[in-house]
Amino acid sequence: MARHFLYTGLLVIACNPVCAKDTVVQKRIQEDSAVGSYRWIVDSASGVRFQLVQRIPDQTRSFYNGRGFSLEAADRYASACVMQTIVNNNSADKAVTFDLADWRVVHHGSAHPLKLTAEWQHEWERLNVPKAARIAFQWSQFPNVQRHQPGDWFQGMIAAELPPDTKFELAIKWAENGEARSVIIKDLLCAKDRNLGEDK
Amino acid sequence: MIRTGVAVALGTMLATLVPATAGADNPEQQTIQALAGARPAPDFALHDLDDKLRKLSDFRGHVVAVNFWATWCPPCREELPSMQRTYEAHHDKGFEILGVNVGENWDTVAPFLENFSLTYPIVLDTDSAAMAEWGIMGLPTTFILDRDGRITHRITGGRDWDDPGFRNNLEAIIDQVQEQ
Repeated sequence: MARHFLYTGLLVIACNPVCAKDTVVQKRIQEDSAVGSYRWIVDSASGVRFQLVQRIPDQTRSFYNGRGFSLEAADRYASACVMQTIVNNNSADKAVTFDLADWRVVHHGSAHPLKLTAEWQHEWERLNVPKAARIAFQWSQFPNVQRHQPGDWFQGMIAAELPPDTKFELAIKWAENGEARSVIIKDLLCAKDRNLGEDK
Repeated sequence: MIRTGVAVALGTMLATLVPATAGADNPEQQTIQALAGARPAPDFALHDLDDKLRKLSDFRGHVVAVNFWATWCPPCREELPSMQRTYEAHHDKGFEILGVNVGENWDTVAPFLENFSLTYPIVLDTDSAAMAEWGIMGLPTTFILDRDGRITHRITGGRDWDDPGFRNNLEAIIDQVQEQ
């Protein structure tokens, strides 16, 4: 597994008045020719880092199909622009809190909230996804409400609910020792739906 | 049997497809969070891989690290070998590790663990009911329990248990908790 990344450029970020001025967003591409997914990185000056990594639909489809989802249900989620999302609290002394209900997907000028785990679970119940598969889904999601002490970190999936190969922005909010922070990550891109066995 | 083989093959494939875990270029702090006010750990009785019923309360008298994990979780997988080494290094001092696999069954977990030589017990929280009682946000999460079964420390996210700083911190906690 390639663990090195190529810097492909710094992206302009947009902040509301409470955004940390020295927050930097970087876009990197993995040196993995099989997956070739993009990674966006948000670093705050205090040492808090958010990362979003494209998941190729095939990757997500096989993950959930292998855990008991029907092909239909696995495809429903895999096609919803899934991002592996990671938070690292590498600050010296900041307690980090956030709620995914406060994050917004911005596409074509309109914003919509992320579809949270509980809403997905209702859909899986309607599609008769087995309980064991729903448990796997629950714990593979990026926890919707998080609180982290220095050194803590987590990862999991979120879905922007957009078609493959769609550009969008994601407005994220968090708090450091209760102080509100926010940033809009521009030029995010849903992965193309392609067979991982084929050339890119 | 074929199903198991397919699951293992799929798991191996997925291990190569799941994006790299955090911190590849941003080394994580190897912290162990002390909790304000130790509280009793919720007890559970779960079957291990030999189908033996294990109760958490049976570990009273030992310092125990209760590690919630799953086979599909990359940071969970990464920390298993260094956890095993820690277990071997401190087991004589009364330190125990109890791995709690969440949401998976024997057919998934047992073949997966053939790739690791874990000697500490693994129990199966197949319906994740035990995990829910512990109020956990995500995987992996590890708790340190004192000899009276009270939760004194929490580790959120994966760690390198071989990291010197982490090891020193854990050894100090084991000594401190042993004396309580």
